[in-house]
Amino acid sequence: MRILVVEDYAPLRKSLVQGLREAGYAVDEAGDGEAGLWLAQSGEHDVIILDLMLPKIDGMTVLQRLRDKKSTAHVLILTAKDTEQDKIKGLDRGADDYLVKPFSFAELLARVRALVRRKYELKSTVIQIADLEVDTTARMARRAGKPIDLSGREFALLEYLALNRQRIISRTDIWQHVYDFNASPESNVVDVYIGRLRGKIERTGLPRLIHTRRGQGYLLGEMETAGEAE
Amino acid sequence: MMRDAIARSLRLRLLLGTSITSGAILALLGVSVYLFMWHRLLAEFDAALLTKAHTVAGMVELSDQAVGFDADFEQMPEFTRKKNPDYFEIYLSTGKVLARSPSLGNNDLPKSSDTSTSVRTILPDGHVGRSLTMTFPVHYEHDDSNPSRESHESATVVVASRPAEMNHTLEDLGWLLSILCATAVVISGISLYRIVGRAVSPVNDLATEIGSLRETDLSRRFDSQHIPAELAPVIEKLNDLLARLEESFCREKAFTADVAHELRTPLAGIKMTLDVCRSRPRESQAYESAIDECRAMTDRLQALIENLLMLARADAGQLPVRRQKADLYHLVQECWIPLLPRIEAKKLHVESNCTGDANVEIDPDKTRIILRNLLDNAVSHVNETGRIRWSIARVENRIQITVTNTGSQISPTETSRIFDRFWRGDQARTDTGTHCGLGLSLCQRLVALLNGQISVNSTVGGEFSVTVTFATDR
Repeated sequence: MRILVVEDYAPLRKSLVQGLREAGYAVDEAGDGEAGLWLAQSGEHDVIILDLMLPKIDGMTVLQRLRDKKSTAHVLILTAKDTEQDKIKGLDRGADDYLVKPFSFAELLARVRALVRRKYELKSTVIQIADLEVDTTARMARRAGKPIDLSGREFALLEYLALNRQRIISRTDIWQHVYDFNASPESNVVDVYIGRLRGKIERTGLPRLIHTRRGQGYLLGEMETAGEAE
Repeated sequence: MMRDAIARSLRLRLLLGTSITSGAILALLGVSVYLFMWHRLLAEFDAALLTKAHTVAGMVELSDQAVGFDADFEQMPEFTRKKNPDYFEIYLSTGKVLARSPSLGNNDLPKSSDTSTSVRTILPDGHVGRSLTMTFPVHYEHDDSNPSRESHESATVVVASRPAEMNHTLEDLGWLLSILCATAVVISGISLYRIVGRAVSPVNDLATEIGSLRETDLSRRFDSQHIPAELAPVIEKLNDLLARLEESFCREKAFTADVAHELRTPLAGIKMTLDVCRSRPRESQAYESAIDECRAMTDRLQALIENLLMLARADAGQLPVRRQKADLYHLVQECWIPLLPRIEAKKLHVESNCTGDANVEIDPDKTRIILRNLLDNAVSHVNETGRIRWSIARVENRIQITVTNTGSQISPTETSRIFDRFWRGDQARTDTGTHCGLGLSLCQRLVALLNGQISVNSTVGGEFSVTVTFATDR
């Protein structure tokens, strides 16, 4: 999942970005409203963590402009203002959630997960595809009841595919939602990770779950083997 | 208690005042009517007494050198009746009594020296009455044959009567007037009480409305349209007061919100850094850097709290000024030291200009805080490789400290707001956590405490300069 952090207080932003990256998210960061708006409009973010008191363009205006442009990103407002009016104003302008500073990292992660579930219209925290279970809260996967050992990035890739199950996902989509701008944009990075993921979840004897659509992308789901090319 | 209640109640005071006034006026009117009637009745009574005297006098006749009295008491029952009879007595010029009314028996009626008017007298039966003394010439017995016969004989008649009827009439009049007065006072009192009650009822309504006002709805205003004109100024002043209260309440609320924001932001940073650091095992270096970051953020929190406290103390008048001799030049030099690494990092050019004697009688601690804030601001807001100029100059009996930096982002219109607490120019906002927007407010407060002046000049992209002026007590 790709997250944009817009926060002007540098020490907080630094820790936030580090924590989210370690949790397996692709993270972009901005220190003011202008940069934040630019990044939000140029990338496909699943969640935007937005501070309200920002230099150049304030958080409320950033939110308004994003909603005017029909951005689908879910916005979590982060602010030191805690009055009811502030909350109402933020939520009315199209924010999806509200977190008052100071907050714990665990709570922030839980809220981000909830926003991701909402974005992909997921009711349960566990996604089930055939005998594959993807637990988005515990951030682990099981195949036929047996846990699969995945790195943070591998899990992020699997989670993204699982959230879009039974749908073809292009390499660009995967690139945009799983990797942040810091990673080098080599086109075969996605293929390498898909290969590794396959190796872990499709061990011998188990049916294939990740399917390749030549020229289109990948698909996670139960499939008749027809049209499969590898 | 009663006195207190009257003094405090508009209604009772009005009622009492009006009742006393109207009562006094009515009483005066009543007494006037009474006295007028008394005079009129007395004059009538006296006239009647005079008629009686003439009648009695007419019965005295002179015949053959002897004075005689020929009375027909059948015609004059008033002199014979038992109850409230009239009296008369006739004296001859010799002093001898010629005749007495039967009612007088053997008593005498005293003669009055005043023979023109009736006088008050005590009647033989002990009652108070009036008597009239009249001296008259005695005529000869009526004789047609010699009408011109004149006598030189005179007699004196004293007539007395008790004005019983007049007294009754006056008594009735007195009662009537008293009852009328009392009734008028009572009726006017009751109606006044009602009118005042009705007039005062808007005050009660207003009181109820004010009573229902909660400390949280200061935005409410009272309607002065449907209230007596006399109360309108009160309502207007009340609304003014509410407006002022609301404004200061809002300012206070904004200040509290700002304080909360400024305290929460570094707290959030510390909490997040600690949480993320603890979320997984790390190299010792990572822990060290997290600790250093938290330490820097606590420094910032501490500075903020100290600034807030100092402002609060200054506001509460709890910052005593301790003046002593100090060299401003040395104070400025001292304040530069902690800023040197930043000056080097930003590759800044610093110029100074100090003319004349910089020794002044001043509070060095407070001056140091002011200087540190001004210099720190200059270093924070100057552009990369920009220039900072500071100068100390004596102008007549004042000393002027000016700090100027290039690369200002503050427009001239914004300079008026620069001393507002927590106000920050947009550029400064990028430094949340370093500058909270209290520095200049604190400077202003401290400069005022030291009886100095502080002013700011700025143009966007040009120079930003702060000038502090102190009197040099010479």
